[in-house]
Amino acid sequence: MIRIEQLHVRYRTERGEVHAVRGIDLNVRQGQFFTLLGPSGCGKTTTLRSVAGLERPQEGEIIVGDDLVFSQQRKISIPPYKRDIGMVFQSYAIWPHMNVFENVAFPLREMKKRVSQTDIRSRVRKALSLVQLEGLEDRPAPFLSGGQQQRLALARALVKEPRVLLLDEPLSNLDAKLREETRFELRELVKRLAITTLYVTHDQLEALTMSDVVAVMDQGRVVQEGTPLEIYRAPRDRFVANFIGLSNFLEGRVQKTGQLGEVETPSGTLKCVLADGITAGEAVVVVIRPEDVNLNAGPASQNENILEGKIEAVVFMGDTLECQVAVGTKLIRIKLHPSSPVARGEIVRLRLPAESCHALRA
Amino acid sequence: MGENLRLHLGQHAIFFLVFFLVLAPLSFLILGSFSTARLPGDFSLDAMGLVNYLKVYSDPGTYELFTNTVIYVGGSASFGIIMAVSLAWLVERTNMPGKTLVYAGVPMTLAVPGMLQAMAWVLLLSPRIGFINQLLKDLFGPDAPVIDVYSLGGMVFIEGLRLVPTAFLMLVPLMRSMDPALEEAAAVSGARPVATLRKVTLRLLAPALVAVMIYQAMTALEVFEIPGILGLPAGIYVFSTKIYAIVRTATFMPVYGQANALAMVYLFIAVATTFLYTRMISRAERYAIITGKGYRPRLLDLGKWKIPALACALLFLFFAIVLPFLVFLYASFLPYLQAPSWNVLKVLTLKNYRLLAEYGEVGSALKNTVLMVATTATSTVVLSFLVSLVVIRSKFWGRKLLDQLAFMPHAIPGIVIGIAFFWLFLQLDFLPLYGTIWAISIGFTISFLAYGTRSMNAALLQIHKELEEAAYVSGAPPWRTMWRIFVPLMMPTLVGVWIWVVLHAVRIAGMPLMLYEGPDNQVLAILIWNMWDEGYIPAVAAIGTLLMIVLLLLTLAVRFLGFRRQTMQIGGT
Ligand SMILES: Nc1ncnc2c1ncn2[C@@H]1O[C@H](COP(=O)(O)OP(=O)(O)OP(=O)(O)O)[C@@H](O)[C@H]1O
Ligand SMILES: [Mg+2]
Repeated sequence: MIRIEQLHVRYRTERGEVHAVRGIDLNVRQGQFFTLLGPSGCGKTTTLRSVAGLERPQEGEIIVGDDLVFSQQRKISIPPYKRDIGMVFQSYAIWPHMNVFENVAFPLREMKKRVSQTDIRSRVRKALSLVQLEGLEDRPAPFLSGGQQQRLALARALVKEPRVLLLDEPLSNLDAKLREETRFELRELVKRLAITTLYVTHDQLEALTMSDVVAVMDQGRVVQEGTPLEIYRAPRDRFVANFIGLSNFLEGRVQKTGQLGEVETPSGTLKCVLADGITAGEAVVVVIRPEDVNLNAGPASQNENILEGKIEAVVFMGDTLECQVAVGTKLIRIKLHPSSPVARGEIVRLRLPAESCHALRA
Repeated sequence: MGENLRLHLGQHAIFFLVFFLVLAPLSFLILGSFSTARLPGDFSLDAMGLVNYLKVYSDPGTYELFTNTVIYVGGSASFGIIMAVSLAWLVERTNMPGKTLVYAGVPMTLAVPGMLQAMAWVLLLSPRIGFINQLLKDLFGPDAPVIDVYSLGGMVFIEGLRLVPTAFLMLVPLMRSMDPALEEAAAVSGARPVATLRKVTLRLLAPALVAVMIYQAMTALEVFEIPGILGLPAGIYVFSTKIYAIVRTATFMPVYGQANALAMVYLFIAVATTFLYTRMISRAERYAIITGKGYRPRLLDLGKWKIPALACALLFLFFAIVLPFLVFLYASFLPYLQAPSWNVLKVLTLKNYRLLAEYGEVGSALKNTVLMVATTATSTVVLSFLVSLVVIRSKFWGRKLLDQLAFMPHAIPGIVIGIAFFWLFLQLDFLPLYGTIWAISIGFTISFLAYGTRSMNAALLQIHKELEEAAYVSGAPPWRTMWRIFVPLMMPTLVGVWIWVVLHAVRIAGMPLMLYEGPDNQVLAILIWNMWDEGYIPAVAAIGTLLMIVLLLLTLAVRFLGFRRQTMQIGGT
């Protein structure tokens, strides 16, 4: 539904050139909820804006639906107002001089084929009821709450029934509680309409809970693409592991390959899952998520690693207890149930299941 | 793609229109200064030389001209600033009573056009007919000393009065935002109040004060009406009036090339001052005296000086607005000019107003003025809006240059724009523009373009970029976006600029005088000027009274409509 090939975007500024997007390939299928996730400045917005036609890439091709909307080679660049898209902006961009009805009616009034007044009225009403804003038609746009503005922006993006919906951090201006509620509502809505969605966020929780596919970006490139579970369970490199959730990293060298490999680290030898193509002797980092580490005194089973360490710090986080355990020279962070009886200075044995330890190329 | 091409063509059209409107007249101004032909019509590239420059700069009169200009500009700017600083300080930092009156009254003085202000003072202080001088003679006999307004002193005094409101409006926010903690820190360090004022307050204000001063000097340098009314009859010339005199004197054969040669230096000084001003402003902004905290500075207790201070403030208002208005009102009911006395009451008449209604030239001038002012305001608003859209909102290659081109006329004195367009229109004789009100409209549009684009740029920057982009992704092409998003969002600015231009175009006489060719393009300002020249003083008084009332109402309307920012800048002549 959306295909991006070898996309490059450069900005010319006074202080030289910024290469914001460096060769991105993406394929979003019909009806998919596809998320671009990455830290600030990695080029997510730029990619999204290129799909919308608001930014003009230097190289590459973009296909939306069946239309080739941009191609450097074929010198094609369809302006945004001719692309079959709906878009929600980070600031919502609600026009303050129009009321709710006029904001939503705007895309219909600008359509090539004239839409009759009665049609406009019924389609606006339908769009507003989708986002539960019925009855607010005559409200001037500035008199809406943040959440209502966000829903109004969504109604405006959907009213034309575009084939593709583009969303740029649509939840970042909402307060924490509302954001959580809206996450599920939003996903449910676009799934119900079966609309293809390209979503941009820097919030990993949003990306993991809402998407069918997540593409993690860094410095203008896609570093990993996969389902939320794949991304979370098996990050392909240290950047992804670090960005998605909290992780422990243990540097080491591969000793033995196989279904479960063995990695020699300063804290001891660890059995772990090796990334594809890693050979013996290679330098790697072993990634372990804090919640995968258990405290256990019992004997080690076949597929477990046991490390001994001393608890250096205990922090109460509300729903968890976070501990920092010194293993050799390394601090390992673990998450425990809040009622766990641990204390600073205690010597503990850490149990690391081998299938949760991922060795990545360093 | 067609839409894209149209957008491209549109941007280029705007660029080259402004490029031509700004640079073409200037090119002819420069070329003309080297032309040895007597008349612009005879201009040819074969007859070029430095004669004009040699003639102008070997004339000892030119040095007197320099001296006069320096005294006039320096004097009026200093006088105006001192008054404005005092007034702003009194209302902001002391407990003087009656502040509201001063706050409201000072900006109102902008409603008195410079030309009428000068004329009113002539009626009061002319050596022969001035009411005050006649009174002095009645009191002290025929040998009593007279106060002569036809002098450099008179010009300095009246231009100074005229500079006060703009400077006041620039200074009030400065005084208000100055952190009193800075002064208090000096006080607890042991500085006496006078030392604090000298070492802290004035030092902090200095960069901004210098900027305001340069701005006022630019205004004084550019103004034509006041040295025109007060200096020309006495043969005291400054730059603007000398150029006018060279071109428009009936007694001599005009030497156009020499006017251009003189205008070049004038232009150079004006451009240099503008450059200096821009530099000063950026420095003043860097100077962090504004802390943005919502405090109210402690007010100085004036004690027994309260009433004298208020009297001084009221005296300014009396001189700047009440007196000129009363003088005009009085003179407009006179059958012929005479000093006030009990006998006059018996002969007061409405004849002058009746005459205005019957006199054909007034009707046509009024029609011309309304047409000219409306076209000027509309074209300025439309052109500034389009230019600012390209400058702020597009990726057009020439947008920076376009912005500078639009700002350039700000530095060019009206009289020089007038003379430059005079040459241009004579050269473009296939366009029947010369001698029409459209010529005046075009000249004014160019001079107001700088103000228009500055206001629009500021307003456009306030509009979030995503509001525009949301329209594109909703399917609206650029011109529809302009119409449905930008125009309604910018409406207050568009209306504000429109009114500002009307208020200015109606009162300025300098530029139109250079393009004036007879009854066909006679506007109100020129009519007043000509009638004054020919001595129909009571009739001038009648028109002037009506004009002042209209301008006062417009100024009040602007304030009540809430176009605060624009009102602040109703400077002009
Ligand atoms: N108009 C522009 N001119 C110059 N550089 C730009 C422009 N827009 C973006 N950039 C640069 O391009 C890079 C990518 O920007 P982009 O807005 O795509 O980041 P992002 O991933 O959306 O970040 P965020 O999460 O902060 O929104 C950044 O380094 C940014 O500074
Ligand atoms: Mg972004």
